[in-house]
Amino acid sequence: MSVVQRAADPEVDAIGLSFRDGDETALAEAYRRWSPMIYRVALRSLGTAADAEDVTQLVFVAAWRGRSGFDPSRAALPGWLIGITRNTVADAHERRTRDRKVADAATALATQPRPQHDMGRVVDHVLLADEIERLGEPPRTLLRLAFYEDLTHDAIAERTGIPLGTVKSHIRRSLLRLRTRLEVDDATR
Amino acid sequence: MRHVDEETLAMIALGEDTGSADDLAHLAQCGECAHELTQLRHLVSVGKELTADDVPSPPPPVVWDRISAELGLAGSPAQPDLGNPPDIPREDASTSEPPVTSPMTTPTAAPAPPADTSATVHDLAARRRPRIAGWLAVAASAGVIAGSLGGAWWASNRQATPDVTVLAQAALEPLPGWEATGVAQVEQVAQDASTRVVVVQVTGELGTDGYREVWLLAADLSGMVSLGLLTGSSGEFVLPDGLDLTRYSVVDVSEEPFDGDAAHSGNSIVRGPLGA
Repeated sequence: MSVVQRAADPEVDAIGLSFRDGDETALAEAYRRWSPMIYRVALRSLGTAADAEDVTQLVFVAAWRGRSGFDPSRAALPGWLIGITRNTVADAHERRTRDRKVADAATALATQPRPQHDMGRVVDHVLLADEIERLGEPPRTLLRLAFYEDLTHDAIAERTGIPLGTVKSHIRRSLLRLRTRLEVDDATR
Repeated sequence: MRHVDEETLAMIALGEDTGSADDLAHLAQCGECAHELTQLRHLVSVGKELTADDVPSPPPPVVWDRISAELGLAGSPAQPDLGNPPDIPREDASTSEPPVTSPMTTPTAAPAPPADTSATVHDLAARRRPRIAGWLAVAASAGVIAGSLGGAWWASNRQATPDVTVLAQAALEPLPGWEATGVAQVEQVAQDASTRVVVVQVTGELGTDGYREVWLLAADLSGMVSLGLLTGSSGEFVLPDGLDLTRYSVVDVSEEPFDGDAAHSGNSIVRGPLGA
């Protein structure tokens, strides 16, 4: 579960096609939609805002310059961008490791904030958080009560005053929606 | 044998003790259902690990500027709808230069922007009370916001716990003609990840005419949400659940006359963009 699915979202597909064809407004739109996700993945992985800003810049510059390599029939644009993000973050980690070897390894290890190296996990978290933010109300609140407060469906119904059957169907739909947006794809890890 | 229905699978994945004996027997021998349950369980386990740090947030505006410069974008497309609006004084901005005039920053301007009929500014031009009322009606029908997650509830919980996370904060800078500053921060209580509160503290001259109102504005001023009235120099405002802080990313405190007009007066005292 690590890649934005080849989503059947015509709007996303349209942005992807315009992007590949060199339409600068599609670049701006892609940045508007997906830079928060990319920035957050980089921030969680690398730990500093400066590095996350650099990665975000590198990803969009690389994507734009390499747009002819984007194949809309294979991936949706956000999935492709996340793929570039993975590589860019991995490069940044490698560079750090090199730098650290040059510097005193012991002090560097002791003082550096510990970033998250598990890219797949970071991406999963950010994509899932993003999807939950996009759920409407009341499904989002109901799902949060189930996730974060460990409430049973009965307790959620009681807390919110929403009928049990409605709670169940909202939560079921939300989980299925989240699952279709985050797809198992170990090949990209 | 019939497959286990998705509702039951979802509940089992969430850890509820449910499902009939038939369901459980079926799960033990149906690879399809077992696979689906495994996926749902994985989803739930990741979902339960999420923290506020996982929620996407826009990079600072300078990142787009750098991309645009590096790629030499022909039309130099305007900064996408993220980050600081152009008329918000930045910390490093020269104070001698008046900010770009907009209906929101000119005290003498009419309350509503000129293009009342334009769809793009509809949110701003429209009297927002009906919209907010509509939103509240949805929330109230969900029985969530008005009841269990209300301000008093939050305040009482907050006293009991030190686990307050600051999700975002803003330095509030005075608009031309005002001499006040302030800070605002969005807080979240660990016990209730779904409730966010904006704490606003203003110091300096707030004026004595009318009353003070706290708002969240879209960075491009295409819309706004009233958070409530500020009495004295500080206040706490529960954010409507579902309010998108990446869209409504600017904290604003305005002076409002007692004219019965629910719209923003256009007379802002302090303002600042939320950031990490």
